[in-house]
Amino acid sequence: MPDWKQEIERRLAPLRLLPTREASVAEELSQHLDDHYRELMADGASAEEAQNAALAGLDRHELLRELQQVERERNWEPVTPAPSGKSLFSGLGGDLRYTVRVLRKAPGFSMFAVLTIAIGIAANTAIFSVINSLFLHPPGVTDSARLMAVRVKYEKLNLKNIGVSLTDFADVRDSKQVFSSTAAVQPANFNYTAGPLPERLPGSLVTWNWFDTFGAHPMLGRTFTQSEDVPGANHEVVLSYTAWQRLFGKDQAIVGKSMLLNGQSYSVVGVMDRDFNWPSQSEIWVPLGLAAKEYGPDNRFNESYDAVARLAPGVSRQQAEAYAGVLSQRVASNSDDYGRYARSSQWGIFLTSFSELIYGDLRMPLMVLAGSVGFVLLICCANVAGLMLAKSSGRAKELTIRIALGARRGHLVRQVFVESGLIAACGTAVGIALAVLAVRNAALIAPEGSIGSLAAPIDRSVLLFSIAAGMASALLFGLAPAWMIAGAKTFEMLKEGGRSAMSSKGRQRVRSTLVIGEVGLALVLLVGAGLFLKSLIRTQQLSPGFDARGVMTGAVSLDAKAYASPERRQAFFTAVTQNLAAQPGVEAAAAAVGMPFGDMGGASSFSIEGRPLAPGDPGSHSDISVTTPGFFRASIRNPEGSGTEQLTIY
Amino acid sequence: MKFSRNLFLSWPYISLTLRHIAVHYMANQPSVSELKKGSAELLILSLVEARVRHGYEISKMIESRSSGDLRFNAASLYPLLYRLEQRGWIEGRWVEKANQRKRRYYRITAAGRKILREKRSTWQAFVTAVNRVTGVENA
Repeated sequence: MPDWKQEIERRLAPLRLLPTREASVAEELSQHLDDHYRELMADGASAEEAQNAALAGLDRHELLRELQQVERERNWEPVTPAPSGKSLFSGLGGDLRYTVRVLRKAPGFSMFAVLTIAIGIAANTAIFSVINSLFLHPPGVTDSARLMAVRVKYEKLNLKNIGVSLTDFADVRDSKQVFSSTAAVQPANFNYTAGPLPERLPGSLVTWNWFDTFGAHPMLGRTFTQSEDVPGANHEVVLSYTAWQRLFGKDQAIVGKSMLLNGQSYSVVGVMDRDFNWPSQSEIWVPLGLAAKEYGPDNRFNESYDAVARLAPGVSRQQAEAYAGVLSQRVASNSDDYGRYARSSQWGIFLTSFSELIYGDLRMPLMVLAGSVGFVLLICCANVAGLMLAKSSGRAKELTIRIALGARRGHLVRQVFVESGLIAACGTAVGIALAVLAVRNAALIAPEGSIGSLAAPIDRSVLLFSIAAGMASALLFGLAPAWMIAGAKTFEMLKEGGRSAMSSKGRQRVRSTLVIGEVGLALVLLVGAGLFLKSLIRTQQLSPGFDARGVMTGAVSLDAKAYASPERRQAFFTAVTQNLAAQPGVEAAAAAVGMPFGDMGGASSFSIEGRPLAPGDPGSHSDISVTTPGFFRASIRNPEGSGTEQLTIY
Repeated sequence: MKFSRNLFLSWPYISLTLRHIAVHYMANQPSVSELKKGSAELLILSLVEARVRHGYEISKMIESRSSGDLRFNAASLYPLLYRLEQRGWIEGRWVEKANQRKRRYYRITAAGRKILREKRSTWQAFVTAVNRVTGVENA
């Protein structure tokens, strides 16, 4: 069999094909000639006749002309759509189609680049969805930016941010020119015995316009009316979606039916939407039902409630804050005891945004996390930029020829950005999907109650953020290869075109910069993560001031009718704690309204017997917890607290 | 109406776009170069439609199915295969079989199938139009 390859390569030589391409074409053509030769021989031709006839089919001029045309199309293809266009976007469709083909031809690179960006986008999307859900658009709240939490401070007593008294609430509620709606809430648990097992339902006592203040609407039925928020008439209940689903199996006809809470009948008037969850964990809401006198001046410094207020239309937050100062000043300027106490303790009402109050503690950690994932995205961009640089070095010859043939440099730069844009677009899409999974799984593995109320949906704001992050990434990681093309001198490119781009000093400098940047960012993240872990370990080792090991807690709510008198309540708790204390293995037992780090006790002023107040001293004011004897000694094992041993229930 | 307005039937288009095609008629046949050029892509796409084939097989199939009236030489067949591949209509892949030399097989792509449908329809319209003009149908 003749050796065709040498002859074929001689005929292909003027085309100056890439070596791999030339080898592939030569191999295929020589096979064709082999087949043809074999067939001619089988038909009786001599070896020489067969060789000549086979080669005749490979006319040199025809082959060159046809292949040249094909190769020219191959090299020019990316340039063809745009060169004549004046607009920045003309021929963009062609660039896009070309980029799709280029990426499909390098599936390993494309997949790695897309996944790298996807990881960066997923982390940023997940964190932003949480920030969005907590601070920008809390679920179930209409126009959350105009919803304020009303708070109280005692500067002199170092109480910077506590709940309000009913008197404070009434002051704000009656300021209709500043606040369109004001509502108060107090946590309350209810015994529910109609289910398979008796249980305590976490609930809230609220003023009648609680839901209106949030701008929330019921899914079924209605919310409370003003006439239901008075003593004796407050036997209505609004269910949360969770309670409606769990206790009543999503009964569509639940409105109007009754349920027994604390042994008393309550009429279900409505069911709230799934996303309304304020206060968080609350499964039912019942009207507060307090008499008008409770809102009088006698309760001024008894802070047992939380209050929210919606700014009236046209009123800015600054104006409302200034008005809260006026309200405080009005009390402090009185010459009565309340005024004196307000002045001496530097008491005042102030406003803070609702989401700040609820999630304020999370702001700093979330910002740190947002910064960290921002760094992760930067590292991802640097990685992909490095990959694109390496890839473009493999196309140096192509780019050189295209520039030499007249392709505009701007067009080549645009093509780099189209490629980076396409990678970023795919990465963003995959990243958003990953973020949805991440947030969903984070909620599943988080300790119960820690982020129970946290629903971080991927809404329009989150999508816009992710797309913006994706576009910024595309710009970032397209910048280095684009800069290389824009800044390279054609002459140098022609010199280097056939060789590896690694030999280019400029390219190497860019790659070095990328690597240094990546290592720097990774180091910052590593140090940050290390510090975070160390802080976490220290927090776990922090002493709360008592030994909480072996202490168990339970909660009970007494039937208001059956235990109407203090004596009966006292007898009940004495019997329960004595019985518990007598159980084998129990050292001591006690009862309390308000556990350490809990929020059930409220705050109040008090004085210490035998310790007269110095002139100007406002006296003591603190969170209050009402306990049975032995609380310190038994329940939290603090022997130093064994002096307070008298149970009095008022 | 369906075909008379079809831009693909205009002669300038055919002469402009199919200038690369080279199907070699037998020497004793009348020359219809424009026509044969236009048919080359259609022939190749039709042959790889049902199953994968290598270049020599394609050229032999054209020759045998046309009873020797149509022949491709290597100098025109392979550049055409590369062009079709470049356009994404066919896809070539080197395949190595036991005791056989490595060969490059071509298969039609989804885009190629779509083009094939269009080309068949255009070709049919072209033949019908020519027949109408030359009176072959009525003969």
